[in-house]
Amino acid sequence: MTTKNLTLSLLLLSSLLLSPAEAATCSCAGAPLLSAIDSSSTEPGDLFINYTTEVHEISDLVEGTKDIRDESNRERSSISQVLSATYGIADRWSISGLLSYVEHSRSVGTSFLGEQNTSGLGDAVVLLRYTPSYITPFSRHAISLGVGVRLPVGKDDAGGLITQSEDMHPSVGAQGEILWSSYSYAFNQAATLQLNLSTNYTFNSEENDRNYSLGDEFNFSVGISQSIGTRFGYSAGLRYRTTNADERNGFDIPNSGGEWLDFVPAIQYGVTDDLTISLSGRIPITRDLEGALQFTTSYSYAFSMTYAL
Amino acid sequence: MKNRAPSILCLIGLQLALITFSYSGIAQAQSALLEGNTLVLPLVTVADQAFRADFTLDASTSPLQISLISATELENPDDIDISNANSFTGTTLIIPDVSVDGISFRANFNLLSESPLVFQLTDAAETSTQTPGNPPESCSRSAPDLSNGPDDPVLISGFSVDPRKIQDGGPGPDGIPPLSNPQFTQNMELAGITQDTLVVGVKVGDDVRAYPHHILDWHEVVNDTFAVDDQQQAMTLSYCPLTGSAVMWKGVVQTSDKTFGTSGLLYNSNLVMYDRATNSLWSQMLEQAISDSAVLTVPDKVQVVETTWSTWQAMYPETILLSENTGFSRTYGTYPYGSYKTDQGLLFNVDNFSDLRLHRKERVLGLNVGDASKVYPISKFGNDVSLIHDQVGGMDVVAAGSSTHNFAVLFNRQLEDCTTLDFTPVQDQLPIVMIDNEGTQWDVFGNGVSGPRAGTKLEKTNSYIAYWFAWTAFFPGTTIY
Repeated sequence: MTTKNLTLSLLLLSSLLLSPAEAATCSCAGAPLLSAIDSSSTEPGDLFINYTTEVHEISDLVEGTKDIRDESNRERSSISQVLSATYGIADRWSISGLLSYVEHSRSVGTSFLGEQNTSGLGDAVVLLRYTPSYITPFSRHAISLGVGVRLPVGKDDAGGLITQSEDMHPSVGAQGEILWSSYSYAFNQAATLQLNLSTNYTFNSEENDRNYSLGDEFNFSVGISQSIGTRFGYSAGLRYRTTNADERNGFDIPNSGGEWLDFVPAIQYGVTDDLTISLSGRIPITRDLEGALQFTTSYSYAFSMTYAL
Repeated sequence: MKNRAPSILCLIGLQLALITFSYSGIAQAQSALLEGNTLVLPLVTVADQAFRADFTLDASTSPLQISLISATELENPDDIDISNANSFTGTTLIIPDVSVDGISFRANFNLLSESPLVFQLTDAAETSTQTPGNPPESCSRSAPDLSNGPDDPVLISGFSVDPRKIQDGGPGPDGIPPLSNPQFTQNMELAGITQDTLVVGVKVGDDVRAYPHHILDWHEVVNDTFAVDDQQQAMTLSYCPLTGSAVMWKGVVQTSDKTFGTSGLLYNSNLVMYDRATNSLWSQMLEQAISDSAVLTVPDKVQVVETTWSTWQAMYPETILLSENTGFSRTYGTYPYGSYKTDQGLLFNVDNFSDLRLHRKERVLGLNVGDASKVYPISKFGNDVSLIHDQVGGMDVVAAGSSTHNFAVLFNRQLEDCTTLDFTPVQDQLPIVMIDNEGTQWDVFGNGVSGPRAGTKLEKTNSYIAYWFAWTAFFPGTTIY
């Protein structure tokens, strides 16, 4: 395995586990943004391009921790496509940026009215990272710290005559600030088996044009990733996420915010030394959501490609 | 009108000797006679009995007090014309029409003590001299304005309101599922209702139904049917938990499917429904269609009474109650919007957001008459049933309510024959809430239940209860009683 291939492989595996923050337009929905940004080492001048598409089914109806039978047969899904790039700008310093395109759809089976769809450019994220410690043949520890910003460059008005609900707009429409960190430990010298930990916190104090702001969000992930041979790899982990209630004009929105614990499995294949593809999923284990009723994630799955230049 | 009362008190108290109550017979308009300091009431009805009663006036008291000197029961009361008679309800002595200095007044006295029998003046107002079935020669009662919205709005892309102010709430159309096959029960233990639960009460003929807020919070629309003249009449009750407003409409006659769904949209944070015949959108608080082929259609409205379950049950013990057996898995014991009912927060942007003359969630009885609008906070009504005589937009109205019993209703005081009635509250006889100057008792739905106008119905007005923020959002410039 070449150094580049190893880096690419670990990059993708760890990215599937680490930093799964949401560009959520409500506490139950959203497109993955930071999950497309890895935590692996990036040498000065290295450039990695990643494309991820994720299908996010958001049709579970939950009261607190209890699933509620939804007789209205509501279907709600989002498809996000994220293009990201990570570039090594100096020793131990890298910068990542991403753009997203988001499609939302919603229908209620018992309704006389049809399916509703919105789409458009979503939010962008820029993240500056400092990596004081890499995994090398001489060090089994990697630590990375980052600060970033979510930029409302996208379409925060889904258009149409009627103003769409907040979760149907492709973009949040307000800036958010991000703190990010990760830690990886290699169980062997070849670093083919790793423990990955990651946290991030997003401050969402800014309101959009409709006086709406997302609740602050915290994510923590822990998992194992392993490369098998030179081409295959897998990872498995847990992701804990908690968000505060969203707000309008400074007042909490009922039935928003809560806690989620998901199982996040992934497999990957190195097509070439420069190109790796992967398939991942997110399966809810438990959740405890605020309010009397919330629609939330049923499951999600993603396909990802990473190319090293 | 009511501002004449102090002058009457003043006249009676300070210039007693100069006042003349002109008596012109019990079948005539005036029904009281003043002889010295003795007030003679030739006919006073008490339930099905009739009396002549003489009172002495105590000029030193303020408010004026009168004490019974003697009372004589009249024989053959059924043969006496009791129209415009004085009446005693058990707590209130009503003198419908007396003349002072050539001006006709109504005077009401509340019972102060039973032994000796003493009454105290509580209300006096100038009245007309009309009697039932004897309308004035120039009867010019204008047709009621049924619309809560502007008369000639400019349509924007087919909408009668600015469509950009219509917001998608999130659940999607029928995501808050309407009830289209409501089940009712009289087993209150299974209904999960408490005495303080607010209900929307409806009475159509002898059919009395209650729709509790704690179920409506989760469904917002109930497509129901009532038997009217042996025909099944479709009626839709809607309740918006975000604006605290409940209205009931008859099905639109021209359509085959007369049911409504929840569009998932909100206008000024208020429920927007859609009719399943044309998919037109309907604003609940504007009470009219705001888009598509039905735009500006105003439905036939049905009077509802919002009050606590205990009050409603006291009014109508025969009532049936919407059952929690709705076919949907909802936790009806849990309010779905957290502290929304009591805090100042709103889920959606509204017009006039900064109007904080009242707490945003203060429940008010609002009235629209043309361009005029006025609200009556329920908390301003007394503990007992109390009345407010008022004029809004040229319409003489009476509001009846009680803060303790937690209800308020409002009617046009002017009848079709142009008679304008004056009312006095009736206590402890719910659903009867008032009696007019002619002796007719009226229930909380505005039905005359006894007296000369029994069977008559007071005209429903464009009024209903809502949170203050919603009323001022829809009707800027509204005044507060």
